[in-house]
Amino acid sequence: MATIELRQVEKRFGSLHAVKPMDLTIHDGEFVVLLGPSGCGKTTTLRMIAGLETVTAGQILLNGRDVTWEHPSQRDIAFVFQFFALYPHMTVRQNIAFPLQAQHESKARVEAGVKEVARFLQIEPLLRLRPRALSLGDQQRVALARALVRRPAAFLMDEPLGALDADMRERMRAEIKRLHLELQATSVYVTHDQIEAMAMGDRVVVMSDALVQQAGTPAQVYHNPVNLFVARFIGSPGMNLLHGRCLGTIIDVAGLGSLPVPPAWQETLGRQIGNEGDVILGFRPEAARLTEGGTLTAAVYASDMQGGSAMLHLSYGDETIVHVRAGREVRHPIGSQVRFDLQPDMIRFFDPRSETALSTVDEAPASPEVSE
Amino acid sequence: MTTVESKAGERAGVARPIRVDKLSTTTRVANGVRVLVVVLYALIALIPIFWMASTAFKSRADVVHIPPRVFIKPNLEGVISLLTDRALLNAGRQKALLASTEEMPWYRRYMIERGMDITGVSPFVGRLKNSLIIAGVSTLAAVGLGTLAAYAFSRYRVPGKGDLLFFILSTRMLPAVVVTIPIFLMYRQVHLHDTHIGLILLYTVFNLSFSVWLMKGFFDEIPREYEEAALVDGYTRLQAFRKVVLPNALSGIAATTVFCLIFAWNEYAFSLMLTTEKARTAPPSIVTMLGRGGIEWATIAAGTLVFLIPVVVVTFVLRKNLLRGVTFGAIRQ
Repeated sequence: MATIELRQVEKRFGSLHAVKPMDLTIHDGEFVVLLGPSGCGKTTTLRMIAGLETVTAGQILLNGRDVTWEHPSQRDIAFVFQFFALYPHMTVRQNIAFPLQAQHESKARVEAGVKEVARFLQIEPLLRLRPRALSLGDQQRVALARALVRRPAAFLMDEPLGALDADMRERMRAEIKRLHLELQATSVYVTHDQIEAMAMGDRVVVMSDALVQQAGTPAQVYHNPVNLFVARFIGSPGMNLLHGRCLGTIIDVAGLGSLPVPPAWQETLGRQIGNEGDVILGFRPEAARLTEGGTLTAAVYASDMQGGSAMLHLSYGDETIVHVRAGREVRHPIGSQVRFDLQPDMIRFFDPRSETALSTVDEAPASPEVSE
Repeated sequence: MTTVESKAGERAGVARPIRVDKLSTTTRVANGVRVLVVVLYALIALIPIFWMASTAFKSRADVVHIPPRVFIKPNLEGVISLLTDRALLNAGRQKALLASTEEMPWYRRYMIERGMDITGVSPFVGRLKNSLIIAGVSTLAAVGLGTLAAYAFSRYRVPGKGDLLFFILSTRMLPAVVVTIPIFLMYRQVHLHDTHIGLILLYTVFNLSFSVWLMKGFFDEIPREYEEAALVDGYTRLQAFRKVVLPNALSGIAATTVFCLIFAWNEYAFSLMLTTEKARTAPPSIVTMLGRGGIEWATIAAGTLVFLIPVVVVTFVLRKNLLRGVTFGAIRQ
């Protein structure tokens, strides 16, 4: 198994910066998800690790060995492609055996290896078929088998569930997770789906505009986003981000109401904003509590029943929408006024100019924590 | 039917077989019309070929008979005349030869009965051989080189790719007749006139533009991920090309081969101008038969028939790949 280390790795296509210099260490056995909107450089990063894309500058280390300029075939890394890239002219068996044959294994060992991995992924009945005859889910399993069979140092997966429908995606997500738990193999997984990222990753690396925005555990990126991009991108819907004004110990949001600054934040806000200044107030929908005595008031704009709970879309002031989670018992007719409070420990603040998070801890949180 | 269908449906989830028994009337009428059109077209295309084939086996009397005879007694005079040189026999000599107990091949006896004796192999046999060598080698070269060039154009960042591709195609823009004279002069200078290698070079260059463009289309259709998968699976670029790309490009290679072969095999103008005897190919030779004392229609038809055979055989052998190749772009995966 392996540790993967990126040191100031960057990629330029002509004048276009596909990946700006990034540092990232992926520890042995870790499952790291590269998450970001399309075109953010996550796939390019993955391809650079695999050696399918050359780096413009920087170094890539595998277990301390510099592999920056090594051929993909010498890196001992497996890659699962979005559309699986199963060789159509070979049977499933031949597809899975292909990586072993590259290593000039004996026939018996190839056969044994294929059998073992096929049993592990429960695709034994498919071995004689051609990839074309398989369902997408089975194609995915075969692609995983082909990656697994060689017992590579690390797995790279490029949106492996992107081609599947919702139902199958859920199932394969669980299967990949189980695989990871059983094999404890270092894995890097690329996706644009933040729910997938949160569900699968030991650590999530949020990328945007060719830059790493934040790297942290799913809980960290969810509860303590370092900037507005991460706050918006993670969560469905994303974090509520309201333009407010800090007036000493009170935060006033025009049209919504005001609330006291939580004690833990008073010192920070005083230091960073001064006595009076603009600030962005952030909170997750579940941080809101609907109560009669709430200090914030907004009108119900729409309400989604989500089964276990309801998601209220509230509008205030100039048609700004706030998302608030509510219990499923009470119905809130559209247009009715709702009062709510925020749980003090779930409130976050952002600097409207730098768009980065303010922190109660002294050290600046803005620099993405890249290597734990 | 139902069990197969449900099983396949479960596994594949797509591509359920169409139930043929439940087509609407309009569909069936439309299908009927389609079949009719295809049959008509086939008849129009095949009748001249049939006529040529039957002419090849007609006697002199049958060939010029009016009204034309469709059903004839096969006569091998044309075919044998095509492949041999003959001398006329006077009646006495003919009788003597027929009476002799000398062992002789059936075709010699056949001709003696018709007043001619075989004196040797006709030049057409050598020319057919020339055609086979020149068309075969130039096709292999054009397809081989074209495949490699097309792969590079398809996969690598080649500087000036667009201009290069246009330049390659532009070699095809002038009709052969226009370039024959300069090429004739050049070939005389460098002593490539009337040589096999001269025609092979020329046909290869001519076909190369075609094979590069055609093969590039096929390679573009093959997802890069196949090779990339092979690379991370532990193979070198060349191995990936051989084991993964080439097998998937086979239909394209087959189609390109057939097209190149047909061009090289049928080529007339260059061969007429650039060869005289040693390297002359079959197409101009068939035409020159017209002039030798009376028109030997059966011999000409036999020549054309023999000339058709190699292309038909190759096309037939590659037909499965060809069908897939010609519909390229229509097939995903």
